[in-house]
Amino acid sequence: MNYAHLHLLLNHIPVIGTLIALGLFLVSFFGKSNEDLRRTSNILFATIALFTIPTFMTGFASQSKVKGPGVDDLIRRHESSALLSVWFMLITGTLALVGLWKSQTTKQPPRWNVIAALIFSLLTVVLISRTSNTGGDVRHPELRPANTLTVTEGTFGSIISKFEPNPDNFSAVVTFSKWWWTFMMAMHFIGLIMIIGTVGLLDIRILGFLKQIPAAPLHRLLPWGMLGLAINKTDAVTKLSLKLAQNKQNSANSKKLKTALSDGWQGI
Amino acid sequence: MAVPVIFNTIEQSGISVWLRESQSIFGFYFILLFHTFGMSLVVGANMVVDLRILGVASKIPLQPLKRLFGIMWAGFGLNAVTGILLLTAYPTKELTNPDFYLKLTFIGLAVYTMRKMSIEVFGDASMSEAAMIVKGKMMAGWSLFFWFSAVCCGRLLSETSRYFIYGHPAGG
Repeated sequence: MNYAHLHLLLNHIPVIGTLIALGLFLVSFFGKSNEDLRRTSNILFATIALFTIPTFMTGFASQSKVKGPGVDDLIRRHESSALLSVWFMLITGTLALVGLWKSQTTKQPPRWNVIAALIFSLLTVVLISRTSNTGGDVRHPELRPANTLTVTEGTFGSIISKFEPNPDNFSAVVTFSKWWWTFMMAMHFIGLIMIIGTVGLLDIRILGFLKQIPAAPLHRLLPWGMLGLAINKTDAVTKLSLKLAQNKQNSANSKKLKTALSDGWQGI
Repeated sequence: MAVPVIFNTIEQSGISVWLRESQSIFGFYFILLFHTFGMSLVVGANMVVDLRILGVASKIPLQPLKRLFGIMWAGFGLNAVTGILLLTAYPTKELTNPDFYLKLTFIGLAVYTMRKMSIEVFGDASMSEAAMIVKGKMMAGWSLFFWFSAVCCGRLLSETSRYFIYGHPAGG
């Protein structure tokens, strides 16, 4: 099994998952006592946001497996679209986590969180659908106009494509200075410390150690752990977005990713 | 200034060569991994205590957090051992880099603050929580600053080194 297999396995999760999560979220606005429905949609958004990272990574890593006339431009178009989608998905996932966190104490997430989650989830569904469509164009020539190697954007696609970053320019921005790169690496360490300090302490307590510390108030530290996770994921996705050859087929990165996903799941 | 020959002598020693060049999973990256574990334990536990003193998660009773100092010292011990091994692998690279000394200074200040907090804030079991917070607030702020500065300086080491090994300038 290579990264292309994994990408095919994963790439439907964000597309279908965000649709289901958005559906639940919208239904939760109707009727009474729909907190559980909203909570479920938030859990789904947060989980799908985590799955979006390996989907993006495996897509990036499988670029070299796809060959054919005109395919490079189609891959570039798909990559640009994915780059924008993944950031919106991560923002939606973060808003969902904040909503889940807030609803622990107040039953309902705050109004600003609900409005922001609604706006970003709608935008995310649109962007993910576009990414899915551009991905389909890479592997399904039957979808293109007959005997053409290129795809002409429709009205909708041409508007969105104006906002999609050029992967090369994005790489240039991130690597323009070694100090900026080093700053991101330092932030990665600080994120790690925040996760281990907070989630680690809660784990140790739940395992039965440090019994003098009451377990319940420790969950107040979790937002710091989730902030650490957000720093690490933002940082990791930024770095993995780069066209650095060593990141393409590095098994250590995939192991790191699996661990990070289990951290995130534990946080949820 | 000439690089002291002693660095070369250390680099040519059996343990230094093994640490740098061994293909064993217990080689350089294994030790670096445990250096990261140690960092997470010592700085993570410090961060929790510091944040609590600074007012985060105020429902957590302060006095029982004294138990976390054991984790901090264990993490620090792990880092001291793994740090010495990492230094043995690349003495010229680290000891000719001013950033390395800055990192050690921040670690020294952070450990001093940790010890001071352990004695002055958590040492007296009869002290009220309010009194502990008043006494520890300044120390908690400095502790966070020193530890995160040490982490940043550590991360900067690879970007600021002048030599890779003795006689081989970095990037050359």
